[in-house]
Amino acid sequence: MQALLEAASQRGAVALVAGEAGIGKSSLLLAAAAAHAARGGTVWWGACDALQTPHPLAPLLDVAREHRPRFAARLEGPRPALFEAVLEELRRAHGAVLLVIEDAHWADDATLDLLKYLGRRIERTHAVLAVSYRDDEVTATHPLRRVLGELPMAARTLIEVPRLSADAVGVLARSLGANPAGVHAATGGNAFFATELLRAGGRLQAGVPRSVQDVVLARFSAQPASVQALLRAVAVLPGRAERALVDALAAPTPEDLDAAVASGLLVMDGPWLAYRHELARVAVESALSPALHQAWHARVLQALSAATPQPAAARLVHHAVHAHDVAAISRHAPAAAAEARARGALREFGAHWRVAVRQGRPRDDDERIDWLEGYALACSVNSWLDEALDTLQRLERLYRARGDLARAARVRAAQSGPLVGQLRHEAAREACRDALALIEGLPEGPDVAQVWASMCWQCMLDRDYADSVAWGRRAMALAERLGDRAALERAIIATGAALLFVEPETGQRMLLDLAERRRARGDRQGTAAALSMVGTGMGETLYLREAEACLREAIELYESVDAATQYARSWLALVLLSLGRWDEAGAAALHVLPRAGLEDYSTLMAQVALARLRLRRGDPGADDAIAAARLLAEPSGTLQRMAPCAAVRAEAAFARGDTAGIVAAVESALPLARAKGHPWFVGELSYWLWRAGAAPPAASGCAEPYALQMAGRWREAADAWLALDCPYEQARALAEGDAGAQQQALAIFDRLGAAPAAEALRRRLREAGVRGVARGARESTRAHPCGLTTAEMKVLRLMAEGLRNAEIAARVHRSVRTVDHHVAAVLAKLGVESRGEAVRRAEREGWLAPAGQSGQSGSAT
Amino acid sequence: MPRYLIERSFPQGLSIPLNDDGRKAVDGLVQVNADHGVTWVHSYVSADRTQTFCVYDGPSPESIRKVAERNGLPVSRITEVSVLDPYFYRP
Repeated sequence: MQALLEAASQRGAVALVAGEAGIGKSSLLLAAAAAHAARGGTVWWGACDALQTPHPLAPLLDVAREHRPRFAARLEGPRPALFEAVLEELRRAHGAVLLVIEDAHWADDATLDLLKYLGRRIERTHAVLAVSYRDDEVTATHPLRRVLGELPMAARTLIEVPRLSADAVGVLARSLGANPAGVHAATGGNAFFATELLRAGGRLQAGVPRSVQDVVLARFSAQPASVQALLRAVAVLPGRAERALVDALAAPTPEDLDAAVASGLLVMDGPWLAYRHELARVAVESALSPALHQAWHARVLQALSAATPQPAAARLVHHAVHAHDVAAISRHAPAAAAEARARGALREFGAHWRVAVRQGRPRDDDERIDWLEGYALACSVNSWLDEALDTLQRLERLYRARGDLARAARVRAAQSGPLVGQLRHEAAREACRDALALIEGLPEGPDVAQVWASMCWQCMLDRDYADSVAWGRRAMALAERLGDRAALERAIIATGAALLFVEPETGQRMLLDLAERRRARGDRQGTAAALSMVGTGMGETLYLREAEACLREAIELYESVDAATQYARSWLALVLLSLGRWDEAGAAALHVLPRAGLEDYSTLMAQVALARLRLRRGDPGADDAIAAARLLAEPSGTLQRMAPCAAVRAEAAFARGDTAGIVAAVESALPLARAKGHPWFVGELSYWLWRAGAAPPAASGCAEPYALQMAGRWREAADAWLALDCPYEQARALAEGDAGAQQQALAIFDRLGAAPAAEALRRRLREAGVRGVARGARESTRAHPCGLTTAEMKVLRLMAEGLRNAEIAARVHRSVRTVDHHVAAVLAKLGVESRGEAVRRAEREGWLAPAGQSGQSGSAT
Repeated sequence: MPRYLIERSFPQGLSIPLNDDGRKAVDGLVQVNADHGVTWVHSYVSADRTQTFCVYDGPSPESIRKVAERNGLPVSRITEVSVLDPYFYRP
């Protein structure tokens, strides 16, 4: 930690302090903070709390309260400005700042976004961002895990707090004057547990206690009743407790306080009281009987309700829930939801609405409807599909019972959203049809505009372009007349997406214009959604470069790491695969898989990408990926999911020479692709039938490169694929050509690492008697890691000398533009964001040898 | 975690010096592997030292390729394998 702080004058860093509860993370951070402060450094300290639903940005509020930084003025304002202000302050600080975020396993969504935001920019500050968390609780699907995955590797250091060795426990025992016998074995070296056990010393004659709880409770029960009351009061207050609040709850005498501190259970820190460790607090709280537990929380709630200023709503909700106080839940949970939404803590926004709806009691049906609308919105932004559907159905029943058909229709149509998320497209279409029937004859109002927008959206998803555009135009006209921006923009997105398939330029312009308008008003999430729509649509129609740029920007802009980001990333994997950047494609697909819900469309598209990658490399695991994709694609009954899955199945069947398998795969989607008029899907699926010799070439309705290829015009097909930046498909077309073209195809397959295609082509060439078929690239050692070309290596070496692009251009006698390209390619291939990072990585891995030498270390297996 | 057999070719022949340099080279490989959750179990080397057959545990074929690239090692083929031995059917 100290090394990081010393290096921070050059470059900021993230320190991840990980370990189980009680292992000593806080002690380590406290020691680092004390040492840093002693050297005159600034320490900012914030902790996440164990409230049932955490208070948004609680750690930042801690820092603001204790240190009065400049960003405090922006706490109530919009989030991008707040995050920027925090970063700016870290950047401008004199000397290194140690910013501690404690117990991040409890962090709310807004805090997680802050960690991601700061973490990715920390290198440009003079700060060390120290984040502590219980690694055993941060499972693969824990939200913190996703954030950690987004932090740049170069900027982060993992500090795993070790368990104490037997010797260390012995040292600790001597310092406490206790007998260490058996303590190391009983505690496994957990620092907190070991200390507690040693302090308990001789009092625990009846053998070694089984748990921390036993040790803490033994000490607790040794106290007189008035001290126990004090200990109970502090136990029901997560985090730290204000002295004034504890006075109101338990009225401890100074002697009681002294006794509690002397017992080693509590610590006093100015106006705060807290357990020496969270584990001890939980031990005492969970030992309370249900009746006492409820009563204590009720007393806290009462005391807090009277406090000025009013405490955070999330805190009131926590105690109201534990006090089973329905009236208080009904009062505070909706307020807490609003507060969470304002701070951009989406998960907490949903969690508070869930508490209100499930445990509160609305005054009347109007309020019930307000709550359910709030909950439905929260579920939809969080992609909680089952809950969203259920809530929308409840709303529909309520509106129907009141005879409010327009609203009933709106929420019926809205059910198509979660239904599509569950890949139930037929049910989604039915929801839209029902909604249309409901609004029949109703005057045109905002609900009608939303229903039409839903129709437009659903038709677009099902690739019924003409219908989608027609509904979209009606929805846009009405929404514009009503001045209803939400409905208007929903319709613009879906109409623009539908147009990508028929008038790509119009569609692209509509979506990019919308993205710009949203960007201009500071709506990052909305900008990302529009860009993601352009990127996925252009990926499906093979505008690959544009698709890649839009998807990357969308991923960067999405703040909360949620379902939408994963969908954009799954498409990025498919796009990179087509572009022949297979390593990056694999990394993107694998990034999605452990994160997406098991049954969503991001998983589906990532599995398709992975299956295709493994097939083309001849790697194992393609069949597993196909099986996973099929399970999701086939019940969806929708083209955009079924066709990619069918195509990769056909490719797999072709690879194992299974003609019947090709036919079965193609027939599962080709009729639908023809019915919708989707030239790329029709083209790819027809191509496989033709390769299988199962059908004469049928070029009608096929995208041009496929039609050319089936017509035997391999050279034009190869040129068309080259123009689309699809090297694998280009090589596949060249392999149909003359000897020269086949040699060219072989070189491309070898460069890509397409072993099966290369091997098959070599066999054909040898069988045809061609001599001197080049042996594979795989058989020569790889001179340049990451597939850098010779020119790119040269540029990288000059970058390492610190030259700027113009200087490099002068040295290598090339234009600055060409050098710009090389530099961009080097960064992309190395998967780094800056020149410095590229050079560091090359130096670290030792392949930035002086010109003339190869990078191969020539060792080992 | 799946187990993979990785076939590699070294046309010029493979040599790991039996000294400190060799040890450092192997340590470096192991560190890179660990970054990606990959474990090198052991390898068989052909008599002429131009082919190796390496047994690895790793989360995916992509991770195997990633560490191969970072370690500057060639990959000819990756096969997913499981253990079978003469005592497989005996208790």
